Amino acid sequence: MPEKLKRMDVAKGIMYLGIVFIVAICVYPFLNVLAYSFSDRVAVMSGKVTVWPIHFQLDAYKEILKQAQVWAAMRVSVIVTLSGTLLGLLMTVCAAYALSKPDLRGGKIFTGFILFTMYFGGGIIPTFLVVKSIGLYDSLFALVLPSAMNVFNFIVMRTFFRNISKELKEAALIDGAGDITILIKIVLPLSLPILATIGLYYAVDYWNDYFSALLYIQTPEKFSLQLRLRQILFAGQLDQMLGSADSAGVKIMPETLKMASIVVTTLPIIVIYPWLQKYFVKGVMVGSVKG
Amino acid sequence: MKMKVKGKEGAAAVNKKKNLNYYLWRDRWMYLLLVPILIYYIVFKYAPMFGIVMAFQDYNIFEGVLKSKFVGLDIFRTVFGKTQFWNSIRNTLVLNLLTLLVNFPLTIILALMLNEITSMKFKKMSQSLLYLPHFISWVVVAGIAENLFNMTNGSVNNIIKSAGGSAIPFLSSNGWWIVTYITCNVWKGIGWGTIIYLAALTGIDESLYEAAYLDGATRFQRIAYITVPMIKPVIVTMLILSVSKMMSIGLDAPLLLGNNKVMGISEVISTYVYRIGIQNAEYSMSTAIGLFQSVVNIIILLLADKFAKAIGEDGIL
Amino acid sequence: MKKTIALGIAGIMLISGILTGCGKAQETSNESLEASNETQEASNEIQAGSDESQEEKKGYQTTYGDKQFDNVTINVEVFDRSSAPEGATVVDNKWVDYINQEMNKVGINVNFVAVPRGEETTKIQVMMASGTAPDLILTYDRSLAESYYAKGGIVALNDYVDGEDQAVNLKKYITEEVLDMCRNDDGELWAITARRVNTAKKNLFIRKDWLDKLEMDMPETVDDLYNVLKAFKENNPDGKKDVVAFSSDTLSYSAYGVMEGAFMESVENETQFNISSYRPIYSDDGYVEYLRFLNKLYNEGLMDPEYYVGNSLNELIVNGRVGFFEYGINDTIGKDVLKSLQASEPEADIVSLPPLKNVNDGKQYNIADNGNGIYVLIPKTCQNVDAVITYLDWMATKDGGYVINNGFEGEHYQLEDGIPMAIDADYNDKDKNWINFDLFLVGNGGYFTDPQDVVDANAAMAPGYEEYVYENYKNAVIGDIIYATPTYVSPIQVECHTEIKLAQDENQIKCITCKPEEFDANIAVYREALKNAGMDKVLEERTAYFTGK
Repeated sequence: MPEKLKRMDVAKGIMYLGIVFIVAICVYPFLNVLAYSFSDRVAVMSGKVTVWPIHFQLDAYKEILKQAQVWAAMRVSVIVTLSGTLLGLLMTVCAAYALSKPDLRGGKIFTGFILFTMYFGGGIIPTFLVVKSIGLYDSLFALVLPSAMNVFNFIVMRTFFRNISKELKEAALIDGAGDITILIKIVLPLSLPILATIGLYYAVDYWNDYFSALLYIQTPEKFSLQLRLRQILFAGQLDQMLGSADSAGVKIMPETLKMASIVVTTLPIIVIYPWLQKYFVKGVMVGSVKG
Repeated sequence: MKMKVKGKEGAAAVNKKKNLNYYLWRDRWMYLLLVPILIYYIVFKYAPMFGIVMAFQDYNIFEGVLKSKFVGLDIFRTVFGKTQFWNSIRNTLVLNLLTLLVNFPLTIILALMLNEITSMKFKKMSQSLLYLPHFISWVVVAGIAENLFNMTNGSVNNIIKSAGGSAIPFLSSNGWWIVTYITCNVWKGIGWGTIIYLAALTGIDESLYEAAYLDGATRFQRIAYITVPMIKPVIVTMLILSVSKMMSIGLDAPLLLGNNKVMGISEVISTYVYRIGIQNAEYSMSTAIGLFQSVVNIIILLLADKFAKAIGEDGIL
Repeated sequence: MKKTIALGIAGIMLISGILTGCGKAQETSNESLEASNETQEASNEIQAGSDESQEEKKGYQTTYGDKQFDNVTINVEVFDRSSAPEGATVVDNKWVDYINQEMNKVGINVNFVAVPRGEETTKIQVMMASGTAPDLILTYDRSLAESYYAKGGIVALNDYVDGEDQAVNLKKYITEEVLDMCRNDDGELWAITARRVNTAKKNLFIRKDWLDKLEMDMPETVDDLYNVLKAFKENNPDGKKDVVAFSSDTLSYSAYGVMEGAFMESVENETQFNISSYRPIYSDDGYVEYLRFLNKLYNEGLMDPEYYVGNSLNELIVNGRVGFFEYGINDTIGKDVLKSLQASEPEADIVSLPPLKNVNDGKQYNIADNGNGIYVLIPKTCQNVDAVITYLDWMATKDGGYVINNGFEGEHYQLEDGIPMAIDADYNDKDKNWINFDLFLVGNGGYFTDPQDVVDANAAMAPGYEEYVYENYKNAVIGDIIYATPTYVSPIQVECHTEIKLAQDENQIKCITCKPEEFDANIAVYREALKNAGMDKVLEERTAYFTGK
């Protein structure tokens, strides 16, 4: 026992404390939002709610979740996020792997070709026109395809692929493995953490994207969850800016409802990360290169 | 392609072609992988690029790009002539630079700290909770910031006052507003930012640590000489990418956190474009400003990339 | 785009055809006109043959019931606020069904296009840019509407509305005056705007219980107010320490409210007021005095030191911290704040009071809203402009607007003295109140014809506070003269608006929060900044416009 105590250095103790503090301030606002969503309207308006609900009630959630449209929107978001993440990962892996090969002829040009799009783009209207002209208007494909590749993710993944031990790859080549085999049998298994990370990035981007749905979707049932609930969150904002014109007959949107809509839109995506944590383990084959 | 060459040159040229074909064939799978990527980019990114021409037109949404009047550099001249445009550029750069200087190292330090934790449960729990702020929209963050930092009865100022100090104008003085802005940004992004570094840290060979431990290295030495160098490629990549966004800034944070009192610092490019939105030539102007931002950013990218390579790291290109 | 040109040419040809045809054929076909008029009124049968000849002679028929359309479909924009109840969407619900039931009688199908309320401008602009905009688009922003028209994408509605027999119901409900609000100098009608029946806009409110406990009278002059505010802060009857004596919902943006009316000089003359109403600080020295007053309040701690941070007037009210404020006519009820305050402080009472006397001439000046609400525009891509106008015309009838707003008798309301009284408020909320406001495009707030009806309706919605609501509406219209900020936007104004607003945002706050001795210097800087942003040119144009009227 005493030996253990000796080993536990002060630095570690401070570190633990520091992390606890940081975690606390990161969690606080979320608890705040949660508390608001479960409190009653009057308490919220007076600004007295901090981390614990006052007059606990489920009204706000009932209000949101009873709308069939919210469930439809949730379904849309789930489908779009799942397919988008898969597609995004697939395409990013292909691009990152192919372009991680240092002596690929034309590799630099291709990378530049991709990188260029991170800085220059046509803008909302031209992109809309292109998407519409290929017939994707008001279809879920329009929510998935245009955002399938993210340059940032591509670059990060390529960096990771590049740094996977050269020796390993060369050893496989000598054994007669083709590029694709190397990808599947060596690179991917060693890249679980980065795949999980980039997958998470894509998933969050797709899940949070309300703008694509705004542009490309017309049928109310096909609105994504973010677009659907954003109207609730911003309901008050506009009335102020326009003066009383809009709000003359429109019901006010209680803070509780806004907070509940935030919880509903963020909860599904938040629970993904802990689940992905199991992939943040070392690749299976590290250490298999001797000497 | 048929080339008429003679003698030695001819032989070399033929050899060269052969080599090219050789490489194309050897890496045929790689090229195959890139085909769908190519199609994707051409359709969704390059085809719409005709829209850039809006920056040179008096764009009218009813006439479209084909029929709107071409005005050359007039839009740019108008924009560059406005003092507020340059003020907003200055503010954008100041805010971005300061945020980067604080956020970047702190994120790495936090990732390293998390990596040092031996208790798996504690580590997993903290990781899962730290990234929550990323998901809170700026609307909520701004509201919370107002509650915490206002001078009359903000919680933070209450603590300061009870400790004997006088209230600090976190939200109403230019200098302090920068502190508030950076704090909110760091708070919102730090947990999320550690994810990529944590992914990189899992890839470090355990045996290296063991060897260092046997050699009697202190924790600090271990981190400095093994951990950090092992994740250097990721750090450099992230740094280059962050720096190359210097000219761009989100709209939500400065708009929602800012107010008229601190306009001198809170008005940035994105809020300027937002203001212009009400005017007539809105698309032309916003496209022109966007183009300006893109050009500057890409120049910064190229410079950063060159610099990285010069100090011995892999750049992005 | 080609379609637009083709449509434009066709339109021109048709119009010129009608104009020439009208003159020549008028005398000879008068009798046949009268005859076919009678048969039209008698039934809704299809009259293809005589209809066509009538169209050429009379122009478009846009009064509901005058023309039988040939199974035409129109696309109408509707805002989606994510408030649809179970089993309905904003484009598929019993009201849409009812509308189609009525419109089908004249051969029109109405198809609704949902646009998310929060981002409606972006969505509509993208749709217009790609030529897929609905046949009827909406906006609350007048400058935006005007700019759409100036860019050439909107149909001028004169030929569909101005004729004596055209859009009869619509014109009767909206009134010529409101209709003309969307007519430009060339007489072109670029939009139909909804009529706002009751234009009462703002009110001053005060904590009556504090006033009573301090045994002070209701303030009538600015000096009275100052004394009251000081007492609120220094001798607070509830013993509160963090009192914000004075607040207003206009402090942070540029609307003109009731308080300013007690200081301004230009209010004495309507033309002068109209000219200087755009940024009155520039040409009205009285407005400077208003800012000076605010500066005094600020420096003496009678205002929130960080009033410009966020928008916490509601919170201040509910927490019982604010003593006097300016707000929308009935917002203490409408925003639920009075009830919330009284839930924690049952003795608290907030009442409205009439405008303070102007410091220059002692009169009471009040502010009113413009007589209109939303703007309805028809893009040139619309193939059936007359059908759209007919729809709006129907909306102005009792079967249209009255039913949409009030529901069905027996299901949603009972008539008491001719006033519809809600049977079950909750049922109404779920069944019709979530959408009727957005469907009823020709009126703002409800199907009303008399301003008193609006007050009655609002009172009915606040059980237990009816008298309170009446008092609010009464105070909101007290005044020797009541002005509405004119909607006119001069061309230069549009160009300079961003710069002017920047100058205002930056300087107004400096003037209010600076030390009293720096005030005059800051005002000079403020005016100089506005001048550099182009205010002189704007004033020139506004003067020319308003003195020419």
